Amino acid sequence: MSESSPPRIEARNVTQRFGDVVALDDVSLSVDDGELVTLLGPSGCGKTTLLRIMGGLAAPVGGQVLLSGEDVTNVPAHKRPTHLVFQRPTMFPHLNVFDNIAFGLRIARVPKAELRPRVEEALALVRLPGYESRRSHELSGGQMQRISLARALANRPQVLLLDEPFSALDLKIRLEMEGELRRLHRETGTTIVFVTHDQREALALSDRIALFNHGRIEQFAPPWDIYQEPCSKFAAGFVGDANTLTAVVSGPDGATIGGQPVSLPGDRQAGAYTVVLRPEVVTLQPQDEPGPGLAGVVGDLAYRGSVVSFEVDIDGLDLPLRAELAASLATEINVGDAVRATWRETDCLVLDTDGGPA
Amino acid sequence: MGAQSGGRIQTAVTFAALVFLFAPLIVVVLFSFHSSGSLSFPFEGFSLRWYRSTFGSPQFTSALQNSLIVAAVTAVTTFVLGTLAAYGVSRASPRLRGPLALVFFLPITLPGVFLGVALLIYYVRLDLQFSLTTIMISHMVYVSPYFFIVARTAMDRLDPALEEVALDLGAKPAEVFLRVTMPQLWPILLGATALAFMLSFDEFVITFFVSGGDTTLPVFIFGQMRRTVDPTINVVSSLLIGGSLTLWITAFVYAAVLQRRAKTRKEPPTATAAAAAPAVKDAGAPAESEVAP
Repeated sequence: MSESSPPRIEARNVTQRFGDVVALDDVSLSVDDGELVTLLGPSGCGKTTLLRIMGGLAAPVGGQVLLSGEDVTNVPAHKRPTHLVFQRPTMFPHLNVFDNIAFGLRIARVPKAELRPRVEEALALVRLPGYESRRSHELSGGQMQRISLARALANRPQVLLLDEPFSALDLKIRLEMEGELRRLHRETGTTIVFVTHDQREALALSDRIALFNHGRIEQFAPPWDIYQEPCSKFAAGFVGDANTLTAVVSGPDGATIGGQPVSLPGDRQAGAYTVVLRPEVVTLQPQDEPGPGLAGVVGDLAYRGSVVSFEVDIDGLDLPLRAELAASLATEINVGDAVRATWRETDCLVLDTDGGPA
Repeated sequence: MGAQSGGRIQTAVTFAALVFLFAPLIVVVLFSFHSSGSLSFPFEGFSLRWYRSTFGSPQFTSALQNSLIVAAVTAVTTFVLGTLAAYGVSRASPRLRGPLALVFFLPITLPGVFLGVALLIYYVRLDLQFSLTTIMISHMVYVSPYFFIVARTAMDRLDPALEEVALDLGAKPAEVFLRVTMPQLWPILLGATALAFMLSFDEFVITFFVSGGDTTLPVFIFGQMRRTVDPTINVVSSLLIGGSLTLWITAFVYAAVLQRRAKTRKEPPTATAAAAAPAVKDAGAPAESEVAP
């Protein structure tokens, strides 16, 4: 934000190797105070590795970790004001809920009189008041994850690190926990770094998303930007649904997709480009009405309540084009109909064929 | 019918096995109270004279005392060293874990006689005087693999993430060990220590080689039997049987008490939380209905 205050937590040129495998390749990332950043990516992309390095549970082979501008690369986990919540529930089985949450406070020699209020405050934050004397076998998976969260929050960490904390939970409880986390973030203002492989979760939770691929950050931007302006084919395909088509530009105003003429935004040199089209920006029109667009035949449709998803077999293309229409606009179109797929020129994103921006 | 007769045969075999196992013990206990010196039937009447003479014998009392000291020292030392060894091995790099475990496990594969002879030669080479100390050292060698196996199995079952959590919450490595690792292991390690105590208390073969003037109870019993077979042997055996029975019963009662305490502990929370519980449910319910499509 302001020039004067350094980012709350920052990774500078962090590299990590496991044997010959490069888990993190010169990754830099900074998170501002009070921000909720998700590290998003497919499994094995290095996001958890970076989180553990931020928490001090692993040391990088190269690079630095800075907390509020201070180099903590060589500070071990137990001396860092960061707390990590693991993917699996990790309640200490020999302690009840109260003692679990008080664990870090007791280690930090918090005065006894302060102990109970702090634990109760943490339990209230995760909405489990009155659970002090329960043990882990008396709690559900979701409740245990809340206790783990409360245990980390009770210590008032400078940065809360969450490693896919909800991925082991049922969908319904997961959605509920996401809401809880957004509320917690608003109420406590804690800086949060959240690892997930679920793009829906990342879009719903984050102030900014760091999209990982093969140990590198592909794009680091707010959810809206990542979705609307993915910087690469990978980003477009991983976050949200996208059609990626190859367009051939032969001269000024002369572009084709699958041999059919289309118009692309901007002036381009001759060559091949990748065109990214979100299904919801594509509209379908009967072919008998004249106009621009890709001609094809509806191969499949699925009713999804508010929207209808179509798969259109475009003449000259191997893969069907996916389109999503508001249900009210889709009543006329059936499987087997000849249609034209169109979109507003500003809604399509053009990348060069290597997948980078063009 | 077939199944039933099979069941009957099974019962008979089981019963026979139990009789075979326990009848000698019962006879031993019975004859420890015999009024005459005869070791065979007919039984001529009860008396405590052999108990009196056993406890009156200074050799017996000193052997018993020696055994208790040796077993206690062996058990405690094994507990400390065995716990550290098991912890070290279970936290070693995967490549080292197998070979290291093998080294700690090795003594179990040696017959007691070999171990006894080997230790004997070793002590002579080192010019060590035979004493209770040499017995204790030998017992540690003999007992530690048993302890190690039990302790390592227990440690392998621990979730290493819990230690990382504790570390992450600010606990120093030593605090993690004492506050997180050990509390989860106590029951099993105490059991293994009791096992170490019993193994040491009972050990004869190795002790026979490495004891000098000081004898332990098993060596004393062996010496008694070589000279004359008299009912004091029955008394000593009965005492040992009584001792181990008491130990087992105590352990069982203790376990039962722990279990009951764990169960009753469940009740009050639900009672005290009863006031808070509805509020919690109220808080949870709307959140759930929001989520429901």
